[in-house]
Amino acid sequence: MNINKYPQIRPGKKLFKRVYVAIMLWTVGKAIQVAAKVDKEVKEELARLPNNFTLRMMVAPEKAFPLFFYAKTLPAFVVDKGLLFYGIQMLLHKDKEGKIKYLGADPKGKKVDLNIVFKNIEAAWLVLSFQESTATAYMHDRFVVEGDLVHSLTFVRVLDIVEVFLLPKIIAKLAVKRYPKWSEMSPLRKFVKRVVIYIRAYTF
Amino acid sequence: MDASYNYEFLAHPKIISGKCSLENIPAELAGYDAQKPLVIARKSIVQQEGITKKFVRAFADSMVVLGAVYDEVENYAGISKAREAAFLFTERGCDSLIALGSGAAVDLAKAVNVLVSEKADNLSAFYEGKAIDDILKPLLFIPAGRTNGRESSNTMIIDNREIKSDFLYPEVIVIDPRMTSVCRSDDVAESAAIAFAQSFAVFAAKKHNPMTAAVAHPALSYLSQCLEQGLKRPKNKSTSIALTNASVVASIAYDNTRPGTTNLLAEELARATDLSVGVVTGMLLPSVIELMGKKEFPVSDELLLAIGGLDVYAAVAPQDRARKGLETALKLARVLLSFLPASLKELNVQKYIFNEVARTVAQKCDDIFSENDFAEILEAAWGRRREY
Amino acid sequence: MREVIGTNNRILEIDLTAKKFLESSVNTKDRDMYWGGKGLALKLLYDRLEPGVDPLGEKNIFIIETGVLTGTGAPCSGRFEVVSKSPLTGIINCSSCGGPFGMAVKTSGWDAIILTGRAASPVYLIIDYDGVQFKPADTLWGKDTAAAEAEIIKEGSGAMVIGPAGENLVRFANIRSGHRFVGRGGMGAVLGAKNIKGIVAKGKEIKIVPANKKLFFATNKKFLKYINRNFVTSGTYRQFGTNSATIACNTAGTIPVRNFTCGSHGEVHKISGEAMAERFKTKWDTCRPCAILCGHKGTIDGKEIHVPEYETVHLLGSNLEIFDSVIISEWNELCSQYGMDTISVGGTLGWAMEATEKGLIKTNLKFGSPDSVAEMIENIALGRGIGKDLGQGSRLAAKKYGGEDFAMHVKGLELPGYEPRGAIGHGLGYATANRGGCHLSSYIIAIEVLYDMADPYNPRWKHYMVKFMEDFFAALNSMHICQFTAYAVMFEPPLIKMSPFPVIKILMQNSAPLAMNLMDVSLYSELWHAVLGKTYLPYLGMRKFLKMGERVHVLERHMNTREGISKKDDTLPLRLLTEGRKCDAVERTVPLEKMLKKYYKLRGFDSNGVPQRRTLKRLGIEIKE
Repeated sequence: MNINKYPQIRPGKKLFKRVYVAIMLWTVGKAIQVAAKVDKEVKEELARLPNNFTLRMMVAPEKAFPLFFYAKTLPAFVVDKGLLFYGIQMLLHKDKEGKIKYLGADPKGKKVDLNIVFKNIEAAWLVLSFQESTATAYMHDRFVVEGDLVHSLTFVRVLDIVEVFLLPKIIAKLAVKRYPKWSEMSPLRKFVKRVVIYIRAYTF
Repeated sequence: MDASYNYEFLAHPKIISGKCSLENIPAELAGYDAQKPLVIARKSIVQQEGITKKFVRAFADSMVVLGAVYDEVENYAGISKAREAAFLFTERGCDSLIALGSGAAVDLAKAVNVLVSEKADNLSAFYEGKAIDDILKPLLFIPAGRTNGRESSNTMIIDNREIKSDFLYPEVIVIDPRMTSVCRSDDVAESAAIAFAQSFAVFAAKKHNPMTAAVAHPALSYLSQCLEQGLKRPKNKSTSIALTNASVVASIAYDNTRPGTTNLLAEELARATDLSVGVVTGMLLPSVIELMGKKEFPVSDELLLAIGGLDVYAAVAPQDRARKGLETALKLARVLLSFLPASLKELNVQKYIFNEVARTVAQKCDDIFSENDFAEILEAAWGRRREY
Repeated sequence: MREVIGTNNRILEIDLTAKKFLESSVNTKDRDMYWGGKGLALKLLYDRLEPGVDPLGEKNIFIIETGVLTGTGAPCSGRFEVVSKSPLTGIINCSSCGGPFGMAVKTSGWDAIILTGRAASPVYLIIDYDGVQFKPADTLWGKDTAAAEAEIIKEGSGAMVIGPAGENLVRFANIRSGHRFVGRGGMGAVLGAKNIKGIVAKGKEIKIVPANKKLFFATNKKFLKYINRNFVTSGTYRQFGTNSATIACNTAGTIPVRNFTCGSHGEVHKISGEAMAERFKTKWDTCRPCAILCGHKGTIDGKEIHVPEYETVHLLGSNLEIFDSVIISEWNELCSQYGMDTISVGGTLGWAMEATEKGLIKTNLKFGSPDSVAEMIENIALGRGIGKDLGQGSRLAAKKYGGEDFAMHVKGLELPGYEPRGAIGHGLGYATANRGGCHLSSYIIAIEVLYDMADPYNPRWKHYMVKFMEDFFAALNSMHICQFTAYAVMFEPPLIKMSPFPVIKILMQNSAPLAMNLMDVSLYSELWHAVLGKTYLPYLGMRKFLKMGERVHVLERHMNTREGISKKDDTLPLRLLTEGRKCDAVERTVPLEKMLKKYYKLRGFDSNGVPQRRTLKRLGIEIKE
């Protein structure tokens, strides 16, 4: 039998989605760091997490092709031997004093306590492009949680609040479980915080 | 509800259904420590435009490499092809299998799995009763196209012979609308006929296995809700995924119940005539149900509940529910029939084989039906006229 | 002796159940439309046989039909046609034979014999001018074909008998008449199921005289001239028999090797016609009357032996990877004794060998090893052990044991000794042949390989060639005259003889309808008209002849569609459609779908392969609901 008739297939990459997801994760990480400083509600939520706690949100697989590298151009042994960089991820750390810090995307040498893993880039895309809310995505098994589930729920609540701050109502409504009413969050607070968070997240 | 509590029930495969479920395959494979699957695909599926592209794209951004896409199988799974694919499997160093497309592709994948896991050259030992007694390589199944109703079960039909083992269950069934919508009306009708017959077989006894009934229930509900639309618009994603779900769960339920009259009869007739099992099932179903009605066969009340829904069920007096259940089932079977040839006569089936078929089925089936009843069913299906 | 002018026009209808018979005559309209032989037999069957009856049951009808030319002394006309529903394929089967029985029936004063019902106990029939006698065959039952025939031939001049295989309802059992056989489709099993061991016809009771003697003898003379001029009919076939095609087919890669996995073999020269002629010191042993003389017999170790035909040599030889002509001849004799079709035996054994290799069944059979083949042939004939299942044919055996992808049959009938991946037009011929995997339905390989007139790998115009040849051969079988005469009649008339070969080749490749219609086949039509004393119109007579062929072919197809045949059955074994051959430089398969579509359109069938109403109407076939 001629096995060359059935070639081996090395699937490619979804470059746009990867870049988008990477940017979104960076923005969310930074925004949570800022919101923890400026917003009381977020601060209270995050206070429930233990100190010296690291949270990671990532897209499977853990080791993946570099972001701007086309898979097919890599020599095969790089993939076979696992000589790959880390995939798209975001790390948040709560230090001994209870301060939240965004740690970037390199998990090397860090102990991770809670790991939220999107099963694939498509799942991350669905959630981060607001086609599915976090709660629906969880129902659809788009991501798995490794670690204490209670802590992950805290994180999801924080994520919801931050999304309300970051996004206009029309989009945020798709992304969060329930959009807060006026009585729960005054528009003034929302707009002021949105400006503050955007400025601080993108400046320092 | 009459249910017995002495039962056994095994539902092995994990089912992942819905939008973007193909993309979950790498993660599932990772769970089995596998990253190089051999894809065994049905030719008519991959020949459709864009399907292979869509399928491969689902693996983008994962570490999975597809060993090969072996697409030399259509309706018949035989040892020759299995050996070829097994050779490909070892040559490429694959560690798992994906069956793309229903029917023979899955049977072939199961056979390849046995060949590579047991390091056998052929399956002769298993025909003679050797058991498959070890865990095989992970097998994922992606339903698409015409089903034979045995993919999600512990059976493989290779070279027209059945080999059963609980290790033959696929590990994961991935139902994705992109793949399920690749079919024509007749494919839908045939798959639905098999699913209907399988789930009907579960309720055909007054005392049934409660777990099996619980699994067959959604299958019948999906069928009664989506069948008509699914037949009219086979490429519609939401109906096609519902009907595929129905056929997958029906086959799991059927696997845990005793063989149904319609299925046995249809399989035997299909073997004798070279027609596809789905067509024959669809044509025999109304005749079987009619005969059951005529004989006032005590079917389970849940049949009415599953097909008619809660409102209808509640509106019928308890003693009438079995009869009414058969009536609604007949109505559903007639919907199916409008997309299939009306009668066996229309297909020019040779009548002289009926006696032989009826005799064989009567030997296999422990139902209250006798050989004469089977012959009557076949006669009725032969001479039926199309109702307009 | 009585003299009959033209033809007998008498039909003998025998009811075996009631042991009664009845005489009827051929309808003038039927004679005009179907001429005789295969065509008329099919029409008689069409009028009598209900669709869906059991081929081995009481309701099946068995028809023996001679042609208008039978008994007139026209060259190669000593033939008869047997038509019935085949147990091997479940559809209509027409099989032709050159044995002395045809001549004997005709000269007993009958054109056709129709057998219905089933005898209560084994009998044999004696046919004479006045009717039929039923004789108990208890002593004959179980005897091999040669012994049984020797016994009953005493009562007449021509006989046909079945062997133990037919009695045991082996689905490819054949019928012996002299040293020729009604080979394909299991007609022997139909007789066996009817409890008939044999039929003998008195013969020599009447003399057939052509109505237009002048035209008849003039045409006859021309016919003989063509036959003696053609290099196949007067050369290779006359010298070496049908097996003379072996070397050409091996070069073209169209012989079956190892159950159709390959198309040529280095050792094939050992079993070629030339090698056998030398080894067996052959002499002629043919049908009567015959002008081609393709049948041969010879001696080996002082024993007289019939030289096997091409199909036998390749199905029992190269297909099983056996290249010893003596062994093949012995198996051929064995099959003859038991009364089994060598093509189907070879095809089934090929399947069994591959199935054994792949672990589907357990036998001692092995490619290249002649050890247990003879034993297996015996087991098949006598229905012992796995032989019983193999005796059901490769289709049913594969349904039971698996291996359908390498069961080399079409519609249940095993493929003969031509590999279609080396000649795709021939592949289309297999797929569309009415009785199943049959090479005699169109025999495009003659154009593609033997005469090298068309590219064997190019599907262009193959549908037309197949249709033309099918019509032509159906018409020939309705005469009834030997198909091999076609070589002479097609290629010897002046127009095609004088045309330069490259021109014909280019025409055949690029415009087959033009090239095929250059062939003047009016001789046959002239003969028929001369015998019956009808007015023959030069060109129109030939068109009438071809249209009759088309009518016969479409009628057979129509009857088959009533038995459930449609496009799904017009296919080839999976191996030929999906696997490339390793021995080829370029792996090829048969592009059937493409050719089939054009063929259906040309034939006037719908997309499902069923003859359209208007096609049937155009050909004057009456439609029965």
